[in-house]
Amino acid sequence: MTTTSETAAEAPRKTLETAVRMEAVNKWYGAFQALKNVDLEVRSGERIVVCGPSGSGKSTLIRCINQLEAIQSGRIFVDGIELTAGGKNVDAIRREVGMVFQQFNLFPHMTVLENCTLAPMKVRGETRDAAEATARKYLARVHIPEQADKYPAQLSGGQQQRVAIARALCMNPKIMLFDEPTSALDPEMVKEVLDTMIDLADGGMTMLVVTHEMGFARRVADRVIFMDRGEIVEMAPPDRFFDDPQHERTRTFLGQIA
Amino acid sequence: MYDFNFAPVFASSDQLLRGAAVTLELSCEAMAIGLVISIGLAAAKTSKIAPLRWVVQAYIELIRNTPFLVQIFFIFFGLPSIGLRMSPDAAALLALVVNFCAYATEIIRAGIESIAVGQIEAGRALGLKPLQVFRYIILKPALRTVYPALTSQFIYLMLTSSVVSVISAGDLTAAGADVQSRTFASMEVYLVITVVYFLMSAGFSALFGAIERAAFRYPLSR
Repeated sequence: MTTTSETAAEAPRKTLETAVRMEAVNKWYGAFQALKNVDLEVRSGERIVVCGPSGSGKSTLIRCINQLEAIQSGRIFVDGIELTAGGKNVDAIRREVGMVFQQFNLFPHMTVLENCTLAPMKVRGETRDAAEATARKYLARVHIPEQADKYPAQLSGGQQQRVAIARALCMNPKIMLFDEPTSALDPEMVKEVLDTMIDLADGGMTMLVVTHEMGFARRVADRVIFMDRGEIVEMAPPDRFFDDPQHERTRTFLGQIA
Repeated sequence: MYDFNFAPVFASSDQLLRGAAVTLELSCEAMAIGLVISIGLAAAKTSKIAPLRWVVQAYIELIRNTPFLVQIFFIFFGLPSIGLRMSPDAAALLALVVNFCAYATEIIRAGIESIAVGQIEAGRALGLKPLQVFRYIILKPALRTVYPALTSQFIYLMLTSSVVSVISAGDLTAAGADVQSRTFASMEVYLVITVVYFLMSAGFSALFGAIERAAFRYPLSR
């Protein structure tokens, strides 16, 4: 497995602070092993793209970081706090980790603004005024300030996903997880969402992105991870990952999606 | 040909109106209390805590597999034996709530289970606690999904409340029976009562429609 040391030299603006560390993580669904002995260290400010065939464990990998999936063995540290199954620190970690889903998962009965203010008000205890001010700031950042009073069903898929990004940002997270954020979108809406993510990356956000958008990976990622059958098969900076993949399985995969 | 004579019925219209008022009051109270309790029971029924689910399931099975009339008798005539004595009005309200909740809990449970797991995950990922997820994310869309079934159950509750007349709770049916026994105008009395129940049902339906338009204004995705 590739170590992480070389990327520090290639990206000097990164801090050495660890955002996420996974040690020998194993995860089973019944008899099926979704993650096999996964080790991963993500530094603060780093952008990681995770790709791999369907069922390879890439979504499971990032869903373990905010405990949407429980692991059976191994250790996960987020922002220096160790995740313990069902423990109190899960809520603490979820406050620091934003997540964007493939299916957007906006709350249909709330306006865009209410979607964005719910968690800051109920989890962080912000006042409505403060939460709305923050929400409008991030809605402007994802370029849809004028949609604040609409309901999710009145928006296009691309707009909904940008609201989902703004909603996560309203919690002021230190880390953002993206689980195939463009896979459910019509092709003409992919770009607007990727542009938003690029903007976020340029702002220095720590990001773990499960995606097959290889243009995005090349442009934004510090490291690209290829997973297959629950294992991290290859992990490398994008240049090397795409131009000189070391593993046969990576080459086969890249050949299939090209 | 039968010769209709409504005069004795209209002479007792005050009593019948009071009965209708009792029926309306009893029904509205049972609906409000029953809805709140059913939401709690449905949350328990869909919780991860197995003993909680079993207790709720046992209650639902017990109520849905026994006659309402027997439930009323049990509460009004049975419970005083263990020192739980209550007025006919209180017994009628309790019986209606206990009966209604068994059916409404199952309806609301179906609504809760219709919510996509992604909604719950989104709430959890934002740091909301399970009860907050239920309160702010699940409850409203769940109620919207089952609202038509829930309103039928409300109407059925109002109609079923006629059974409480057996313990003289002073409802519309009890008032009708009293007028009938004094005037012997059975046909006329029950015709009028039938019409009044029908009008009350129609009134509730209109009310529920207005509530639906006010409470569930958000558009559904295509």
